[in-house]
Amino acid sequence: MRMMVRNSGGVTTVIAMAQHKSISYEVAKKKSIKPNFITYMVAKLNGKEIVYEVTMSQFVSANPFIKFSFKGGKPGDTVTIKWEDLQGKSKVSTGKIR
Amino acid sequence: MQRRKFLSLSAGAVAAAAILPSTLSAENYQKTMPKLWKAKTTSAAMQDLFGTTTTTQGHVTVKAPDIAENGAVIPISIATDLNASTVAIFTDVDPDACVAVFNVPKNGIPKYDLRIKMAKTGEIKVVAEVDGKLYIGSKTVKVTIGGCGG
Repeated sequence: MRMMVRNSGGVTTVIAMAQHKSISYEVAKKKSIKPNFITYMVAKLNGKEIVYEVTMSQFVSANPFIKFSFKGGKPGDTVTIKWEDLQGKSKVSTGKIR
Repeated sequence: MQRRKFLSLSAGAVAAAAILPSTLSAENYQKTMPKLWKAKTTSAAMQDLFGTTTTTQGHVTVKAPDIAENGAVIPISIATDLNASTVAIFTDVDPDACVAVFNVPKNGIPKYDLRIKMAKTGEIKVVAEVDGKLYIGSKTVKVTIGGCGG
């Protein structure tokens, strides 16, 4: 996952893009393949405090792009984003606050 | 949301909630509410998620292009100035109505960017829940080529 994490005035902003094909149920049926898309994403500050949480459907675009902000965090802290997809695969990415 | 209130009450009663493993999914609605993702209309999805369909206009802004040439990638930006606990995106034009549900954590700011798919021209509806009350904002997007059938 590509991540950009910046802190300005006590607010941390995260821009991230996950690499995922996001196959909807409709496309999966047409091509006789398994549907698969990211269902859940959670971001934590320094591996502890949850700062972002979203449940996604098949209607989020392929290679999901997300942007969010939260209060707190300082340069040097880490933001960890974990996603899970429909087939049970998950991935964890870490970005350092600049 | 009654279920959430029940959960928070029981979490308060059981002080052990604080030591629950952090890997525990706080709320992956795909797992906890499978019915929600099969709802065909915004009102049905809202009933499933919030337990009510009564909404108040305002306090929720939805930014999206007026015309989207590619329905598979529509950048949207949603925000609310309220202290919302849950923010959800719905659209009636996709095969299922619910697009995404955000839980706003304690220090989270309810302002999110996302890219979504739309099958055809229609309205994006964003609902924010504040203390059991629902606020709604919407935006119509004209879609030239639908983006759900791939």
